[in-house]
Amino acid sequence: MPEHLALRKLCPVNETHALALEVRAFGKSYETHRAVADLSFQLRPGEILGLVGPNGAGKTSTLRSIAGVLPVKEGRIFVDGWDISEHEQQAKSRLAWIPDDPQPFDTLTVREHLEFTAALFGVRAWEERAERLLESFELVEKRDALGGELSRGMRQKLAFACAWLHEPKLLLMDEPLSGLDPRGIRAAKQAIKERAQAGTGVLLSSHQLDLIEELADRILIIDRGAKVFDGTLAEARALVAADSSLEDIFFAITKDAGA
Amino acid sequence: MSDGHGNHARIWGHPALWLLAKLKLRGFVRLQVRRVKRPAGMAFFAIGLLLAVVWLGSLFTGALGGWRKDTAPADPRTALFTAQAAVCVLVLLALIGALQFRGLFLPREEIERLFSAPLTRGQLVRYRLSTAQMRSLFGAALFGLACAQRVGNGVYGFLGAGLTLLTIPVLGQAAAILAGDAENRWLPKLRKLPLRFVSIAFGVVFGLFFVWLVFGRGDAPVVGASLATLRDHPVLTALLAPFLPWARAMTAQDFTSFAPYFAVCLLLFVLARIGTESLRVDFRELSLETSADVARRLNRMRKGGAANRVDAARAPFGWTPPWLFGRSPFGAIARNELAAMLRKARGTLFLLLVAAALLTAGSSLISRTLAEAAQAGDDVRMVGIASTLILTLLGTTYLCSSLRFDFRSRLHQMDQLKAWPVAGTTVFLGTIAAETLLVWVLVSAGLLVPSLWQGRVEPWALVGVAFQPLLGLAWIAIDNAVYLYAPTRYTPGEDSAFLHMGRALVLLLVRLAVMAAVLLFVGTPCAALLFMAEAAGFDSVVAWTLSLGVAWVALGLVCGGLVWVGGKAFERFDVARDRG
Repeated sequence: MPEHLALRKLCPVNETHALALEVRAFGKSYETHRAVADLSFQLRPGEILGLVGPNGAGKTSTLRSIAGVLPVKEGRIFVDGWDISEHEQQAKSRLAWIPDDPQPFDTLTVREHLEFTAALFGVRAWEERAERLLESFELVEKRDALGGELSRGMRQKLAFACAWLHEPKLLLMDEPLSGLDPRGIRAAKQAIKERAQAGTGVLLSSHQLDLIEELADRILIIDRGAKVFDGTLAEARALVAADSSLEDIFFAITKDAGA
Repeated sequence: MSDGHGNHARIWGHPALWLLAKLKLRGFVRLQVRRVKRPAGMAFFAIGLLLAVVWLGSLFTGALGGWRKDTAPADPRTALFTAQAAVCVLVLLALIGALQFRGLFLPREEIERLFSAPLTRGQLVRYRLSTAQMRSLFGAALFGLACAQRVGNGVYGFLGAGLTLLTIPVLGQAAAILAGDAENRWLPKLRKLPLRFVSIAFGVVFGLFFVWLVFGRGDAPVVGASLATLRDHPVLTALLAPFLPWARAMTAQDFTSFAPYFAVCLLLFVLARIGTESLRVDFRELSLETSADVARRLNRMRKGGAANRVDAARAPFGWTPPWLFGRSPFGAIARNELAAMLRKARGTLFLLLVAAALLTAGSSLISRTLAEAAQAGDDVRMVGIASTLILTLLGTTYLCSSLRFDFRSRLHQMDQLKAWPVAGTTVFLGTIAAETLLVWVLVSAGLLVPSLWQGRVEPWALVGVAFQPLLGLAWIAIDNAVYLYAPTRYTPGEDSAFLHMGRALVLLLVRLAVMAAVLLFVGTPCAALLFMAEAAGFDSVVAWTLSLGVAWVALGLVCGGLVWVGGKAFERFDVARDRG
């Protein structure tokens, strides 16, 4: 059996396997600045965690590090119990990453993208599942369209379909609704909820606070690389005002952090 | 998974990566067929294909000649030395490229997807090397064919050269990964040093060359040493020794001298691949940086700019763009281009050095030739005019194709330009005015510096200086008008190479034909007037001044017409149809 298929049969090596994601004292520095410092949080299976913060707060660096796109040099990250640094392939086989501007292959059709993703994650009998995803993301008519011919919204839908294909334990999304039309937004929200109900932990980063308010079970606010709030919306309201919106909470908390 | 998949995985790193390579190849072919189906696409493709067939045919015929002959080349030692030097240069170029693109380059659409997928870095390196080598197979075959013509045995030359060209990217990739690792470990703050060093070295060499051209007026030969002297130089022999196996394989005369060296090269190739795939280096951050850098360059080229154009600096040398053309809308548009020149001064400065060196060299040559002809009592006026005209045109076309401070770098902003409340001709002239001025200054400097250095100003140089702004304006106007009628950008690695080659040739021919018509229109009355004035007994200087004056006015009128046509091309430009 190829190694990548065998990965799913191995056992997690950490006691945190009950969590979809655990981030411990994570830090990220670039040449000239420190993007993230001492960030810790957890995400349970089936939970949707909304990640919010101002521009440059370190959200995308955090997401890319969890996805394994950036190396983790400070702290530890566990995906479904697997340490992303020590057991990179095992951890990656359990996650799906949707960047803010997904780039499809110019010369591959929509269906070929799904075919490739299935091969990448070792998904057997993928065709039927792919057809269902094409339907639910309204891509059936675009099945044979090339990646280079897709609009921004269609690219986003294709990224969703690819991410859903291997039924990941952890779903990482950066501004997932940008470029989608109202119908697409509604379908995407529904799909995210269903994915969570199926047991996937969803880490959702967005500046659309109403989206986070609607979907997230918990909210993580970071500012200048540091965690400034981690809890439910009710807990956040208790800190600010009982009738406050997430927008009010966000401004109140980030202002306090900046003061 | 079947054994077949297993074999592919061994070559490509992972079954999914093999599938990706296969799908991409299929997609490439599909896209070619789609494009060629359109009538214009078919025509351009046919022209491009014809050019390629002619070129490849000549290479192949030459190579066949090489394969048939069994005789050794006149000087096998020189052939061996040349092959060693060629391999050395190619390896050096690969290493310089490795310093520039550190880590593992993956295209934008692959990098986030593959880095977040359950793949090892060794699998990614293997995939990258295999795709790179599949692409370089064509180049290797061409290089092999070219070499086959020049060595004793064409078949061995072809095989040796082909294997060399397949090995070099592996070495380059290993160097890119190791350089990135070294940088991460020891030199995080000196990230750009090697690149800067190479740029500075280039600048110094050009500067010295320029100084030599201006001040070294003696008759010293440019290249003092002959190839034979270089070949026997002990230092060069030692430096080129590592490249001996490849050179021996390429230049072998018979099987017994070819086989052992080819076997060594093959072994080195396999070892290099295995070694590169086994490097335990985390190249992710550098790869992301490299891929973003390449994406930026390609994006710049798709927008119409050159790949090596530098990013704008805030205030190089503390310059503020002056309002050289007044504070009218025309002046504002021209100042916009002037600001781009000043704020991308590094690139402009480099071009200036190259152009100044070449123009000064050409101008010095003309001065010297004319002086010798005058001493011999020959009439040098026509030769002077013609050579100055050629030099001016060459300088102008070279600078215009390189500078691109015109519509070619503004295509991505056409929405904004079209919305300006200004006439099309004003936008057109304003956009090309600053480039015309810069080209005039550069070409004039190239024409005048040698004359001034020698203490006397050649009249032909003055004629060149007087005509250049109009010739430059005419060429830039034609260039931009044709570009606005048919905006095309071709970026390296993009598909449809034949189609683009055909279209580029057709558009170049159109530009040249229009410029030839302009020169004919201006030159004919000028020549007729000169002939009549001399026949009427006018003084030679008066006759020349009169006819050149008429030519200047005629050229000015033509320029006015070309700017009008350019303005119409701008007005006609349909932003919705331009797909970049």
